[in-house]
Amino acid sequence: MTDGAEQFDPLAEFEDEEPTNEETYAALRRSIARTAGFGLKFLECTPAIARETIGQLREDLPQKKIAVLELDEPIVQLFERVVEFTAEDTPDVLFVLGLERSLVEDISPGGSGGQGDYYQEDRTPGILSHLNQNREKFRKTFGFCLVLVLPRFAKKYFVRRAADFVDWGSGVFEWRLDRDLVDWEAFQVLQSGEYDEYLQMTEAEQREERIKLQTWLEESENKNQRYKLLIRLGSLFHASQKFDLAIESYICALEIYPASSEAWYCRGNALSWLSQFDRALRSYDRALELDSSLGDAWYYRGNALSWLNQYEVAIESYDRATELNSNLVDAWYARGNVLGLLNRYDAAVESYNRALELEPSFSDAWYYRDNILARLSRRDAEVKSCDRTLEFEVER
Amino acid sequence: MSSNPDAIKRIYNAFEPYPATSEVYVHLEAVRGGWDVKRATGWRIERSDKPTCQLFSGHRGVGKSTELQRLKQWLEDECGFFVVYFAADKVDIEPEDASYADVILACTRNLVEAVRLETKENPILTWLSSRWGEFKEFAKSDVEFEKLTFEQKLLEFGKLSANLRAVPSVRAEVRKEVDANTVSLVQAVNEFIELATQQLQKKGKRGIVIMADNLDRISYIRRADDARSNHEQIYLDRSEQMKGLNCHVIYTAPIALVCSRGVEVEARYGDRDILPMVVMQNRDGSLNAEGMAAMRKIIRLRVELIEPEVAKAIETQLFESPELLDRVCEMSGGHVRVLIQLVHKALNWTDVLPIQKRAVGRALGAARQIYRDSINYEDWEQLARVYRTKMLPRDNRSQQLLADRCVLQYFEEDEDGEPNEWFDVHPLILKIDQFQAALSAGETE
Repeated sequence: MTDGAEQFDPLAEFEDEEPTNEETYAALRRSIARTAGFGLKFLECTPAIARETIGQLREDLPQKKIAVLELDEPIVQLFERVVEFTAEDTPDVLFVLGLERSLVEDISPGGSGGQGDYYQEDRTPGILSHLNQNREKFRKTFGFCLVLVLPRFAKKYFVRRAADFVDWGSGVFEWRLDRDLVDWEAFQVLQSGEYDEYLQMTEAEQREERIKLQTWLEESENKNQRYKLLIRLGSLFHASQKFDLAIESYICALEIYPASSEAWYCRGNALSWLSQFDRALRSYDRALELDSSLGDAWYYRGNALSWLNQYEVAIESYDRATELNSNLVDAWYARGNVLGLLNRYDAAVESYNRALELEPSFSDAWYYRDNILARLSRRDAEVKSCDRTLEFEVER
Repeated sequence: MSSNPDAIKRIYNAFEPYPATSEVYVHLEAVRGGWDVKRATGWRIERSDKPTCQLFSGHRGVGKSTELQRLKQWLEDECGFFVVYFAADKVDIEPEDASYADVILACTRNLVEAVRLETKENPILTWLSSRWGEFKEFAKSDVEFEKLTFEQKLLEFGKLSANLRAVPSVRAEVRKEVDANTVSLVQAVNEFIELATQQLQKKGKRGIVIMADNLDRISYIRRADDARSNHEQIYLDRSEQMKGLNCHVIYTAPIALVCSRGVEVEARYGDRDILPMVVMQNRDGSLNAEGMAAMRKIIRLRVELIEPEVAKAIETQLFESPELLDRVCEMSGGHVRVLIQLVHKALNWTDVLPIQKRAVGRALGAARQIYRDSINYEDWEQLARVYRTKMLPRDNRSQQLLADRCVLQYFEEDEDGEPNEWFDVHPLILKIDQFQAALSAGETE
C-alpha cells in the first residue's frame, strides 16, 4: 500500500509568489470570459478599484454584458435584490458592490490583527445566513456570473463566517494595494472625524465612517497608523455608545503600543460609561503612571473614585487636575460636589466659585452652590442660636 | 487540440465545484484507509435485531451525501430494508434556528409521506387530530381536521412542519407545543412505525431505516460563554428523544461536535462515524500511491466527459508534467472539492493548455490565502502541535480547526485490518509563514 520510496514534501521549491495586479486582472478576465451559465466569484478590492476594473472588463470583453448593482444600505436578502435588478434585462455578469454595509456591524475591531475573536458566536448576520441557505437557489435561478466585491476586512469576515458559501464559489481574486496609496487613504481618514464630529453623525454616516476606518485598518501595515486608526475607531464607537466595542478597539491599540497613556485613558472613559469604575480606575492609574500631566485623566479618575465612595482620594485627584489645568470647569464643579458630601461647605463654595468664574452660565453649579450656602446659613443660624442659649445659661 | 480555446473553456466549466454526476463518481472506499460506509454504518444496521441510532459525519464537500446514497442502495438492494432518505434543509429544517423538535418532526413528516399505511387508523394523524386546536393556527389553516380526507390530513401535517421552517415567528410557538407533546408524538410515531413495519414485512422488507441528511448544516450557535451550544442541545441533551424512534435512524451531525464531544457522543450513540479524507500520504509522510491514483482518476473522469483526447494523458495534455499533476493531487489533502477547485483556479492563470507550473503556483497561493485569512492568531501553535503529533485534542477550539478543515482526519489500516484514526494539518497550510514560525518556535521549546 505504501510507496515508501517517495516522500511528500509540502515545502518543495515551488513558485507561488504573489501575483501582480495585472496578472490578477488577467485571471479574472479569463475566468469571466470562460464562465458559461452560473458562476460565483469574489473580488477583494476597494469600491474605487472595482469600478476601474469593471470599466476595463467592459472594454476587454465587449461580448459580455456587464451590470453593476450598488447596495448603499444594509440588506438581509441578496437573492431578491438580484432578481429585481435583473428582471428586465439579464446580464452576463453582475457585479455586486456594497455588501460590507450589511456586515460591518458584526465585525469586531480586533479582527484585523487576527487576535481575539473575529466575530460573535451568538448570531450570524442575516445576509450571511441568507447566502448560505440560498446558495442552491442562486445556482438554479441565475444563468449568469455573479461577482461579489468586498473590501479586504469584509472578505476576511466572509471567509470565516460563510465558509461554505465561499467554498462553493469558484474563485477569489485579490487586489494588492500599493503601500503609498494605503498610507495616503489612511491619512485622509484620520484627517476627518473627531469625537465631536462623530457625535453629530447619523447612524448611516457612522456606519460609512466605520467602513472606512475598518478598511484602512485592515490594509495598513504601518504600526503608527494602525494605532491611530484604532483610537479613532474607539472614539467612533464611544460616540455611538457602543462602549464594549470601544474598549475592544483600545485594547487592540494597546497591543500595538502598551505604553500609550492615551489608549489607557480612553479605555478608562469607556469603562466609566459602563459603570465599571474599578476597572476604569485601574485604567486611569495606568494612563497617569505613564503620563502624570493628563489633566483630564486626573479629573475622570476623580469621578471614578467618587462613584466608588473614595471621596478624599477623589478630591486629591481633582486637585491634581486643576493644578495642571486651572480652566477645567468640570473638575472645579465635581470637586465642589464631593467637598459638599464631606460637609466641607466653605471649601465647596470656593470650588463652585472657581467653576462659575470660568463659566458664569453653569446652572448646575449655581444650584448646588446655593444649596450649600443655604446649609451654611442654616448652620450659622444654628450656631448663633446655640451661642445665645449658652449666653443665656451663663447669665442665669 | 490542446490549444483550442473552446476546449479550455469547456474544461473550465467542468471544474466548477458542484456535485459530481454519477458518470464521474470514483469509488474511494479503498483509499479512505479502509473506511467503508457499509462496514462502518451499514453492518451495524444489518446485524442488529434492535433499532439503531447512529450519527454520521464528515467534512463538507467530502462526499457524505454520496456515501449515504450508496448506503441506501445497499440497504435496499442487498439487505431488504425500506429506506426513507431526506435532505433536511430542503423542506423541514431552518439551519439558522433548529431544535431537536424540528428534527423529530422532520423525520416524522418524511416517514409519513414515504409509507402509506393501509390501516384505517394512522397514529400520527390521530395525534395531530387530538391537538388540532392548538396546531391549526401554526399550520396556517382553519379547516376542520376530522372532515379532511386522508391525503388532506397528510398535507396539513406537512404544512405544520414546513411552516416551522419558513415562518420564524411561528417557529417558537410550534416548538413550544411540540416540546410539550414530544413524548406523545414519539409514541405516536412509534405506533406508526410498528404498523408500517408490519405492512412492509408482509411485502418482504426487513424494516425501516431513516436517513436525515444535511443536519450537519445547522449553524453553530452559542449564546453565552457558559451556555451549551445548539449542537450540544440537539444531539447530546436531547439524545434520548433523538434515539426514541423505534426504527433504524442515521442522523448526519456536525463534524466539530462529533469530534469534540467524542466520548459523550459514543456514550450516547455508540461508535461515531466520520467519513475520512482520501489518504494522499501515510502517517509516516510517505506518499500513498493508491490515494494519488484515485485523485488523478477524479480529474481524468471530469475531463473525459468533454475532451476525451485530453483525458488520455492528463499528465501531459492538461498539465505540463506528471509531477505537476501529482503536486495538485497532493496539495488537495485528499479532499475532493479542494482538488476540483485547484484545477479550476489553475485554469484561471492559463491561456493555453497544458497548465504550467506557474499557474499551479498561483492557484495554490490563492487557496493558501483563504487559510491565512481564516486562521486565528492563537491557533497557529495548536496547528504546529497537530502536525508534530498527528493527534488532535478534544477541546472545542481544536475541534473547530477540524470543522474548518484546517486539520484533516485520515484513517490507516493497522496490521489487523482495523482502521485507525490520525490527524494532519491541511497541506496548503504548511507553507504559510505563521505556521512555519509556530513550528520552529515549538521545536526550540
